[in-house]
Amino acid sequence: MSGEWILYIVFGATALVSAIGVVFLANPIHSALSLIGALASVAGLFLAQEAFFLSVVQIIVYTGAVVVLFLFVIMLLGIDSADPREEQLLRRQWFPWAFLGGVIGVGGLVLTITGIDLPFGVSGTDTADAVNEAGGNVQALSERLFTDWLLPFELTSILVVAAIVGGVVLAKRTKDLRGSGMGLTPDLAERISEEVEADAAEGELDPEDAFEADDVDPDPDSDAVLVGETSENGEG
Amino acid sequence: MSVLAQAIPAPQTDYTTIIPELIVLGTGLLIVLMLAIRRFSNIGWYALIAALGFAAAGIVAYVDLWPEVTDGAATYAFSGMVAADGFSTFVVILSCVAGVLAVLLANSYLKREGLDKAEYFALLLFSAAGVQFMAMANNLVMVFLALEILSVCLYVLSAWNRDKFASQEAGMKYLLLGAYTSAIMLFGISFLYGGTGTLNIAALAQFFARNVLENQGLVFLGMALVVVGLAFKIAAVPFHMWAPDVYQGAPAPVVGYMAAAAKIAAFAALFRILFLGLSAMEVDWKPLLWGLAILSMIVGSLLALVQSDVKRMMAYSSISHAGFIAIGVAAASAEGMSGALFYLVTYTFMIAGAFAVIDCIGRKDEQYTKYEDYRGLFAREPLLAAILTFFLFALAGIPGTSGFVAKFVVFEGAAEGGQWALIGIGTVAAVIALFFYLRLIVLMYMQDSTERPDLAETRARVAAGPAVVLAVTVAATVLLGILPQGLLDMAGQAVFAL
Amino acid sequence: MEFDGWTALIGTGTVVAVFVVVMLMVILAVWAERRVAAVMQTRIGPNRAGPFGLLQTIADGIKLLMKESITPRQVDRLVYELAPLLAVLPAFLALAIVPFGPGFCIGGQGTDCSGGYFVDMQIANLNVGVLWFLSMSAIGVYAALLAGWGSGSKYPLLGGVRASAQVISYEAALSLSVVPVVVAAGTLDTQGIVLAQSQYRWFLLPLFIPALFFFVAALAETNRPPFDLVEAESELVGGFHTEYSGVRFMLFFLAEYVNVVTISALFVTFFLGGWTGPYPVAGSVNWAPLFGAIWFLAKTVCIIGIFFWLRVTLPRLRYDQLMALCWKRLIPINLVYLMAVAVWVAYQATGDLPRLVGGG
Repeated sequence: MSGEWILYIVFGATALVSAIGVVFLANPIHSALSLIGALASVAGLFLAQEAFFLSVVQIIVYTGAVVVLFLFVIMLLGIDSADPREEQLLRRQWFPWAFLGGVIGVGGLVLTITGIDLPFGVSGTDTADAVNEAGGNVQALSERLFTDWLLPFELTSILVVAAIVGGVVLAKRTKDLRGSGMGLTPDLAERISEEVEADAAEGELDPEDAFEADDVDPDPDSDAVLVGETSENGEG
Repeated sequence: MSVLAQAIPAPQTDYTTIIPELIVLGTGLLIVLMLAIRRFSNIGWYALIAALGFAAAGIVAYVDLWPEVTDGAATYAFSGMVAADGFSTFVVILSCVAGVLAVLLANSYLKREGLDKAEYFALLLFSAAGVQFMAMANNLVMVFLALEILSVCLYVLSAWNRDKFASQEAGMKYLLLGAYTSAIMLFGISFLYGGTGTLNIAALAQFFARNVLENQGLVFLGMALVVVGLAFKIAAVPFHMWAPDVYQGAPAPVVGYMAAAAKIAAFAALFRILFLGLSAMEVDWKPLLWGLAILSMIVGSLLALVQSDVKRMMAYSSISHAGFIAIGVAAASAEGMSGALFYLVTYTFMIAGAFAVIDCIGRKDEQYTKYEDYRGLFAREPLLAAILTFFLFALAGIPGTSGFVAKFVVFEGAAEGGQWALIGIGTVAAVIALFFYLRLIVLMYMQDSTERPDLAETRARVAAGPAVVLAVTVAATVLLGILPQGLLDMAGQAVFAL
Repeated sequence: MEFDGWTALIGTGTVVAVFVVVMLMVILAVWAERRVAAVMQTRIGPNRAGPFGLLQTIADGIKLLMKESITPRQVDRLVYELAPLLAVLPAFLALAIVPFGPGFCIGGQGTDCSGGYFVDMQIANLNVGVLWFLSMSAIGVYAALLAGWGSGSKYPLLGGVRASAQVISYEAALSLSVVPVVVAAGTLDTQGIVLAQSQYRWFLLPLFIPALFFFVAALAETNRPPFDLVEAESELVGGFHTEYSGVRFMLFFLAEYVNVVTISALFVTFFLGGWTGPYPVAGSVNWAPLFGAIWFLAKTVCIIGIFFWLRVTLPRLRYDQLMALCWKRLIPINLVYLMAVAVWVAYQATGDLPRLVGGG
């Protein structure tokens, strides 16, 4: 058993456990923390492959920036604890399907991979020796990046520009909407008030308390879940 | 300093092969830059710039590249990242045409809805560049990157009418599901790399020519996952779930472009990866495509029958069209693919024209898209109703329109491969499709619009942009229906060298 | 050189030595900060515990250790407990790549130190040292963020959210001001960066703007005034550590000062020639490593002094000013400067400008 193999097992196991945690932990913040664990474990896996640069960049980019933004959004929106009824609704709708899909996926994966002699396929050209010969991780990587992979590198910048332009356009509020609440557009506000009035007409609740009441229509076909959730945010 | 002494070799940069893409991207960046410096109050200027950019790119591709690429074999550029051949150049020209149509449609829409932000055109240009790079990609990473560029732009465009709940919903659904399938596709790409040790599509073919795999499991899984990722983009059943909601919620001009662009890109990539890269695995991927084609045609047509919203119906119709195009790819022959290319051209015109009409009839906020709103349309808007009728007939594949020729050439490709079952099912689906198009048409000619005084009062306004689009698309649909030979030859040339 | 008991001993010894030196610096820094502030404000400052009040920090430390560690009822236990650890851990881990002096050889001969043991005056000589530092400071964000949220109280939450936004933004500015150094030195290895500045070719002069921006970003990164919005006492009580007391509070306090020491040491490494000094020239005298360490620490202390000076001098920024400074000033100017440095370095290396601008 080589050191690399041990590292692989340790980090692979933590990555899997953390990934499961991401899905099954009830609190979104705990899920995000678990995600940090998973991403850091992947950095460890890179380390075991002697890909130091990739490993460190993985930590900087994913744990240092991406998950921080996740946490940031979760905290700002204040979705600390989801309404248990909503959660159940979600579970009832999706769980059987998700479970079925998972079983098929994992089964297929196991069947395919067990039929193959390890190590699978062919090994890549960039072995550790080749990298060391080129002068280490950073040099080898930069050389490949700026020669063979130049076009994909440049296209990535286009992708980022497109994403930024799109993000800014969608996020920038038009002036007359300012102060109407987070994510509460006139259209949505109208829908919510209609919903509330309808409920009031049925004598279910007082329109004044509508936002606190968190009324969720148990009918899975209606959009009530979405509206209920957004009204909560709109208030904050 | 010591490290720099061993300077790296200069990258292989053959800008001439990607001139159209550079023009399109450059125009997009120019618009973004102009917006950063000073905003013109009239976005018409930006529309003009975008349209000129598309036109220039298309013309350069046709005049400069097309004669070159149809003569000989593919030229690989940027260290084998992109391949310039007839196929890719054909798609580049087509995407430029789609882009011009989209710009013309969007200008008046954006002004009418008060959504006039010129970033729209920049995103349109970027997304078209995504389509073009997807067709040219000779590397799986390039395929993925181009797909992402296209997708990100389409997510944003779908949610463009952000004050409208349905549009937000469309963007959100498209984004979440799209991101998920992108991950699946990336997973597939990594499996392919693990199994073959290369990401280069041409090298994949060489790998299979030199090696016989004892167990194809890993490569098969990778191929299947890549197909799933692309099938999502073309909205093939069972990966179509997003399409109805997105088509219904997104602005009509966006849908008119998106329906065509996403299909063009995904089919191009599908063809390149499967036919050129994994041709050795033909027996494995053919059944997958058959399945997708059959399910899409049947399910799309059947579900379109029961819709009550025109945009939603068009979504299911586009799903069934995806099935028809998939027949061409599944034929796994140059004939089949040239048929599919022809189909994509006709579809681009038809869908742009149809959504131009839907946009005009929908008016502000696209409030009139229900079947109820189309009842008696002919009495109120004879011209628009007639044009829409024409497009619906073309989509259904009535002889004399380009839709008929398109279905015919696709079936022809399948027939040469002896896939009669596929043709049989396709014919049945086409008949079902005729029914749901007819249902709307019949509704339009019913004479009881008296119940809708709100519609009777005002007439739908057809702005200059949509008017031009309508004229062009009607002309193209008629022309390609009567004299399809020129384009058929071009499509044949496009795939000939492959 | 094979791995044996001596290598392990040297490794452990380095870790212990670095730890002791840094802890001493932290203890003195806390005391010095209060004395410096006192002098500048014509007060006396702490002068009771020990000579000149030198033992004040230790007395405070003992006090914090003895105090009850209160856990408010509404906290999220896991996150609340985790946050102080996440503050201290990256702070110390980042120290691993600080080169305190030139490496030296024990018992071996020649330049490759054959037969002996080569001692690096740093914990880990990584070839991606600079990135290691950046990744550790990136993880450091979580301390404030999680402390703020885990406390289950509004002031800490606001502090935590402010902290994360501030630190991510300035992380970008910090990274971008290090990149010109990396380009100019041609390596990501901190020891290599120091060597590239030998013979007084300090990067401070040619890279003055990145150096200035690095310093500004460093202030923000460590949440030091005038960027201490995270714990602005007039607005947020104590910021993200309002609900912490006793040992846990001490850990936050410790992490802040360790970060100050680390980042000052790295400023010295990147821009002030690290351990190089006027006497002796490396290798000429047996005691060169010791002198190197002395030069290094002296420079570091000067930088820490500037941290203190700014604290008593400058008023706190407003939040929008903070963000505008980072995104609209530091980052764009840094990018332009980086471009210029890259072109200059490439020109120096190849002597061929036309090729650089794509002339084939």
